[in-house]
Amino acid sequence: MIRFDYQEPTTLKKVFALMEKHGDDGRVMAGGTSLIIMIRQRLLTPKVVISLARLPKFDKISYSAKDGLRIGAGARHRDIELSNAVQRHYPLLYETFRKVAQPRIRNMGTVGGNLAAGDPLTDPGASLIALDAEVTLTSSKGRRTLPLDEFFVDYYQTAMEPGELLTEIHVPPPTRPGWAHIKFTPRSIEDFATVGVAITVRTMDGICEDVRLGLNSVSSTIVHAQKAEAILRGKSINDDLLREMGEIAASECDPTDDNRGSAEYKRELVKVLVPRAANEAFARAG
Amino acid sequence: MKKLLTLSVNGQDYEVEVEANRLLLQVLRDTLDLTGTKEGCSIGVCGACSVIIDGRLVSSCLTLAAGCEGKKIETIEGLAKDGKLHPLQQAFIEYGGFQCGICTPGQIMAAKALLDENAKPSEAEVKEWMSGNLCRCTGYYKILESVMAVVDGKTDPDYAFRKRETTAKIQSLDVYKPVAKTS
Amino acid sequence: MSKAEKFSVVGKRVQRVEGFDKVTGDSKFIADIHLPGMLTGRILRSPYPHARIRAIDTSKAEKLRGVRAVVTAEDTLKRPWGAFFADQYILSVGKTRYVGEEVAAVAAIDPDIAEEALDLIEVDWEPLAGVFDAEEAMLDGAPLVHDDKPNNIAMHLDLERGNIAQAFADSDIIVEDTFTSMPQWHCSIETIGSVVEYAPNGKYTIYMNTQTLFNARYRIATALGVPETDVRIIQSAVGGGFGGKSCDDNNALVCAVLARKAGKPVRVINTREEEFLAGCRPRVFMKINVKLGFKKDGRIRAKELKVIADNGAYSAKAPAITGVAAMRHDTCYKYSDVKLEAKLIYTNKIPTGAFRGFGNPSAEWAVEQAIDLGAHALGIDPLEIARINAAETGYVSPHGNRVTSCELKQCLDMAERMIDWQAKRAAKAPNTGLGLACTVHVSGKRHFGDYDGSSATIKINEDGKALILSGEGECGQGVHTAMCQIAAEELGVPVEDVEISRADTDLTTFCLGAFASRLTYVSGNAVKNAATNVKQQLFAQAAEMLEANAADLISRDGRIFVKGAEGKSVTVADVARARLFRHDGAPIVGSGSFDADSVLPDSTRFGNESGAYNYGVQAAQVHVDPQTGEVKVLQMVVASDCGTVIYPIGAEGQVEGGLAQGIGYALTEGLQFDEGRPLNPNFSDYRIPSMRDMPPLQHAFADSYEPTGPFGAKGLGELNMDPTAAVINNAIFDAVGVRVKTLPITPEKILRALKEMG
Repeated sequence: MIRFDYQEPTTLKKVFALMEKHGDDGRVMAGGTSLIIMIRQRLLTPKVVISLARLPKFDKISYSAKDGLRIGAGARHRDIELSNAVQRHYPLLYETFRKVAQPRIRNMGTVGGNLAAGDPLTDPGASLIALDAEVTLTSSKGRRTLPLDEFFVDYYQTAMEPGELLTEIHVPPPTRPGWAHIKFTPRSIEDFATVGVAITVRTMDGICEDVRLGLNSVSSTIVHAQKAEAILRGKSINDDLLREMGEIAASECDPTDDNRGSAEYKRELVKVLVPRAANEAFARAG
Repeated sequence: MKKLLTLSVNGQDYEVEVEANRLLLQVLRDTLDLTGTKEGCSIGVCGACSVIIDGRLVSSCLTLAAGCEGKKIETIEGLAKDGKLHPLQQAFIEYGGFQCGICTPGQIMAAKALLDENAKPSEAEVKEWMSGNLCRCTGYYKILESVMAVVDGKTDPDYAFRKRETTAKIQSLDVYKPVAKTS
Repeated sequence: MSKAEKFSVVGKRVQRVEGFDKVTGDSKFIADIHLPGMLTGRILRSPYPHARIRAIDTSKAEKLRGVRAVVTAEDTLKRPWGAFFADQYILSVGKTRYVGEEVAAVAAIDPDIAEEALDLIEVDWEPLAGVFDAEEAMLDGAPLVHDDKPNNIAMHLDLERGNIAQAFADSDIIVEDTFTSMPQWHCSIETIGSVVEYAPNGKYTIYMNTQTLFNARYRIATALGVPETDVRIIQSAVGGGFGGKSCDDNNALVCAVLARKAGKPVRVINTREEEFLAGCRPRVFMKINVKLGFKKDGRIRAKELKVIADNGAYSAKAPAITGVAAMRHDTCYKYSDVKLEAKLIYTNKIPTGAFRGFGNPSAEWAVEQAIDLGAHALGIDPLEIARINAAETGYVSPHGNRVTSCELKQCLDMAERMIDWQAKRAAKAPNTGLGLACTVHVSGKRHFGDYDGSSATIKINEDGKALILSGEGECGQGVHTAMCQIAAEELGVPVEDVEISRADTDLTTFCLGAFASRLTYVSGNAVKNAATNVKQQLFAQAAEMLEANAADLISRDGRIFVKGAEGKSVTVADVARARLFRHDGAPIVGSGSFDADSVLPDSTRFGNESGAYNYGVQAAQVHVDPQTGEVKVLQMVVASDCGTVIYPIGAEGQVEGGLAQGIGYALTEGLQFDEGRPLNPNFSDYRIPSMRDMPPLQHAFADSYEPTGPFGAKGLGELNMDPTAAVINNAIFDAVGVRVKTLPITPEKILRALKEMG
């Protein structure tokens, strides 16, 4: 492995100072589960690794009925999975995080690191999009918030500017009680999703009032399938409509061939799994 | 860039000076000579390098040693106390929870982390948890059985390791005396 | 009472000999061996599937601080070596033939420096056109992998037994189809590695995680150009073998060349990626066309098999494997007339080789589906058609394989009962189906010269404990425990009083190692014979002490006494000491050997290849999601005939582990290539099954006794890897009526087939 220096700043201010000082030679590390692999494979060759592990309260998870859920970017997947607030108020998040990799990696990887890596194969982004999450990006100059679906730009690329750090994820109080998550992993349950579907819905008398649909492993980014959502809103739910929703969602994806399946197959799966997830979510919504 | 670290491993403090890029796995194995922790895939998938840090099961192949200052690290070498095996270690022998044994330290550390957190997991919970530790020999059935034996208290309380008590069978330990013809 | 029940040690759930070391992390695997002054070796590998090497400049690497040796082919004899065909070099000579081939290597004081040094080696490459598909490689004008192999043909086999034209003419129905198997990697959690110490007197001491020490020594000595005595191989603990660690790769050789040049011990451990690229030799992948003729009553009348096998760039064991794929399965059912044609073809991919099953998983994937096709065509229950054709004790296959014990029919009964075949068939649920397949394997195979034997030595220590010295080795399967049980049973001592040495070519006598499911049977017989020899020596001494006739003595639980007069006895320890501590004292030590009653196949490949044949049946119930193609294996059952079960925990482990690899082979594994470049050489993209991926399983052993086996035992290790893919695909066909013809059976392929069916 290439040699590098390692720093563990204990304040955000020090983090920004190090980021500024080292520029492109510095790399911020949260849980390290993807960064270390990339360094070992020499995809990245930082001269300094700046760890966020010793930032106080960087992993804090808080909840209030009014404001919703605030997750410090340093919260590990398993912290979120085990959070009472998450289990009680955000069952979709609980269901999603407990399916990420395995307990060992969930004990290490952080949600901030996951999102900042911009890997379209991973699960949290789609569910967070389905829950209207926004991210806080902080730099030495200040902070800004961005809806999560605007955060993902391309493979391993996000809207973060140089000098910015993802510091917090905010999930507003849920407004759609129905939810479902499907992680389709036919090779091995431990695999990355061939296709992942996260959906939340609100209904009234058989009419879909509102819906959010997030998809992963089907494009160069996590997908917020807004066109598919649009055809459902205000409509009476039936199988034909859901089938159409699946087809539109598939058209919003741009999958590639890989060892989990061909692009064509993944599109086909979106057509099947989106209606399945929607049905499940509607059943939960009552 | 070398770092001077104090690592607490299995209750003992070690002062080590290592390169900042060294992984915990490498420092355990190469610097501290604790080779029970194994490298399998190098990308956090197989679990052969599983150790417990501050109560959390982690992959030591993805952990920088430099980040472990002041943390409590548990490895397979810390499980047996005073020559007595940990119940999980005993169960893995009794129920055949290994074949080649290369993944076994990781399997046992994973199971320990689970049982430390939840002493009575269901079989489904054990399966879900242990699925992060790959094994190519056993098909996992006997690993599951071994862990469940501990959960269900089915290990043999009189268990003894198979070696160690044959000298009693030798009637005369004094080679200078003629051996009795009969007994 | 079955014959096995009268044993006092054999068949008991004893503790694994290495148990304590394994669960405490104390077991010393290859990466745990550290010699003073040891350097780290790393290998520069070909980035091209086929390229000429115009020049290599190592000067910059040599100058890097901390580098102790840099080697290329110039540091070797440039002498080709290989298990059957000598066609590969330690380090590339002139050109490379696959991505990952060893080109140069460095040894340095630290792994980071070694890695840095690799970057400094400059190779002037001339990429060449490659061949990546066996069928294309055979065409005239295709690039040649080896200039002296026209049409890239490594081996061509063409045989007919009986009269195949007549047999097909006699058949009432004929089924025919083509099935393609896939490259599967061993994926031992421990990669291949070695530690070599070179002494100035010319001797190489090599610590290796090999499963075949003496074969490794022969090949290494040949490639290095030294006598075998100058190579000492000591087996480390082996973290999984499955055929992949049988020394068909260059790891130890490169390490040896580095150690000689550096004058220091060197360790070379494959990274996981290297293991995929150029470590263990993956399963030979084959395209198999199978044609079966049946009589109306279900009897198989004729069989024709055409095999095209992908050898990769070098041959390793693929020539033997291809032969097995073409012929072995003819020992499973009663055949009269068979024809086979097999071609083994060079391509610019990783050399293929030995992996648990040794050609049988490819063959059974094809043939067991053809049997199923026949059953459906005839309207006969697949279980029934297996019963009609099943081999029995006394059967001699068309290729001369003589079956001395066979409980295949009993296995069919057991599988039928365990999975509740008839009831499930009668109450078939939508998209749910049942499938089964039979399997056969050998217990050793005579193909390394005219020898399929083993030898072992047992000595009795002064404390009465027996120590077995055996060079067969232990690669994780538990064979050392079984050997201790066999020795204990024969000696009449508790199993706790028997230990076994690690394998070391300097200290143990010749034997062939772990392959072909041979150890329990072949090595077990050798150990038993050694124990008989030692027991005679013990009894001779004990007779003197007990003032009795040696012929009247028996031993039990570590005591020797006159039959019928158990009150008067001596312990083995006392006997050993009495034999030693006196004038003309001598230790009690004895050897035993065994060579199976098999025949080296002749030029037409006729001849009984093994001393015993093991049999089994697997059945599965699956559910297929018709919208996604996803397969869920709801239940599996396995019945195995391995003769007497010596070490039940180990035997069960072989069944369960074999099945897991079979399920991976069927559904999830396989390396993908792009122009010879592996696309998924890591555990994230190449998925082996996890605990949650394994189906509910029930399995059992047949009541069986192999007359030539030690206490009635025969082989088991590979048996349950072989049929699983066919079992699952037969069940998928029963569930949804489609049959994917290429491995792995992915949901995508099933969905496509469902759509094509409409």
